[in-house]
Amino acid sequence: MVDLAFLLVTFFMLTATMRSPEPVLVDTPSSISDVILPKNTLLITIDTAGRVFFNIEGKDVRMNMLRRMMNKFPEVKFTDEQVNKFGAMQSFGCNFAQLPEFIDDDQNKRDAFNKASPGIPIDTVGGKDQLSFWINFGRVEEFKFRKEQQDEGKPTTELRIAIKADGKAAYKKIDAVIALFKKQDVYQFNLITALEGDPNAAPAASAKK
Amino acid sequence: MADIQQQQSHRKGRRRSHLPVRVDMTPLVDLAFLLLTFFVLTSELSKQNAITTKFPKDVQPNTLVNNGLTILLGKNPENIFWYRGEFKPSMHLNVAGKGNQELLDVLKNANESVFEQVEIVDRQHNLGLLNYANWNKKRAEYLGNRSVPFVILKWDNETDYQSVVTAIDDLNRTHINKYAIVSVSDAEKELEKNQVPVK
Repeated sequence: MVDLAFLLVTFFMLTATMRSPEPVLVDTPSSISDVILPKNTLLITIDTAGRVFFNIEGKDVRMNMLRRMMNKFPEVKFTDEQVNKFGAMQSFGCNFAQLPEFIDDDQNKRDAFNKASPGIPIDTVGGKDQLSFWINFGRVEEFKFRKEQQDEGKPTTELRIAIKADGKAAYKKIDAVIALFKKQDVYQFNLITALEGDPNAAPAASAKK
Repeated sequence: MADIQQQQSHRKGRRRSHLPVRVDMTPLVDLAFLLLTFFVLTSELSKQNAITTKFPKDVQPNTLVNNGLTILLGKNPENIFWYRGEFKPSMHLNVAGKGNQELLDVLKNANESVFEQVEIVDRQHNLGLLNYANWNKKRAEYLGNRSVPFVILKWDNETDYQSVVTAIDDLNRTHINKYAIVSVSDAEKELEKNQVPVK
């Protein structure tokens, strides 16, 4: 039994990839698609209320993206330490002005903040939209990073845009986000879903005979 | 149980100790189980699935599509309206009620010939009668057929994300790869309101 326990420990240790902490609980819609989500994604999370959270992978990409945002919004000040810390973070969903404070918070405070946060502003009316800048700078920096990797002869995968939205969220909200991507000539998305059985598969096949 | 007892040595020579050595394994086993529990809980057993969608550049909400199907996704996923071709204010909307199966049938009928062709090559490929290259080629040929209808999914303020994903699923399942997702027009909404709701 002890041997078995150790065997299992070893197995799980080797296969474990840490579940990335999620800013909000999202119940993804079910679908029959069994396509696995590709690696290297720009992830947009949208919860039931339509609040938007943003995440992109890679420490350097994130830090450079933040520096571009700092140039864009010079009124918000960051310390070098905060920029570094941001590089190692995951999804966030707040107004840019609140980001320095959010970075300094501990995990408990962040969770509490995420519960109350209205998400990243996406409202194009009145120029309040910040998500477009995140998307734009994130893509630019990711592309630069990927180019460097390629020049060094390392294998790279193309950046995919993944949308993880709650099944109960109003489609209107998702459309608003997709509209921002369309402005930047991005038309292809990976919609994250939970696999469901295909109840129609069997009858559909037999009906055809 | 959780300890190791040293075997009595029967060597001739000098005996080092008379006492059997007892190694207590309990803390080790405890730790092993603790780690096991931790990794079981944190590991991701199922990878996330995703649908890949490609949206067309821009579709005006009132685009006229002759060889097309317009599907109105409303609040109630059990009650989906659809019509064929161009929109006329006096037209009668068809209802695909009772959940998902009916919409699937509507789409299957609209794309019947291509659907059957693709299903046949898929099955041949699955049975190993068709190699991958040929299968892909034939599939692309069938899917590029002009008779594949253009489907417009229309959403209103009450449509939830799940309904849209289910509809995209149905399109994928019936091999319709030309579709757009746009918001519903006022005229269509008006017409939808006048329809008798299905129970």
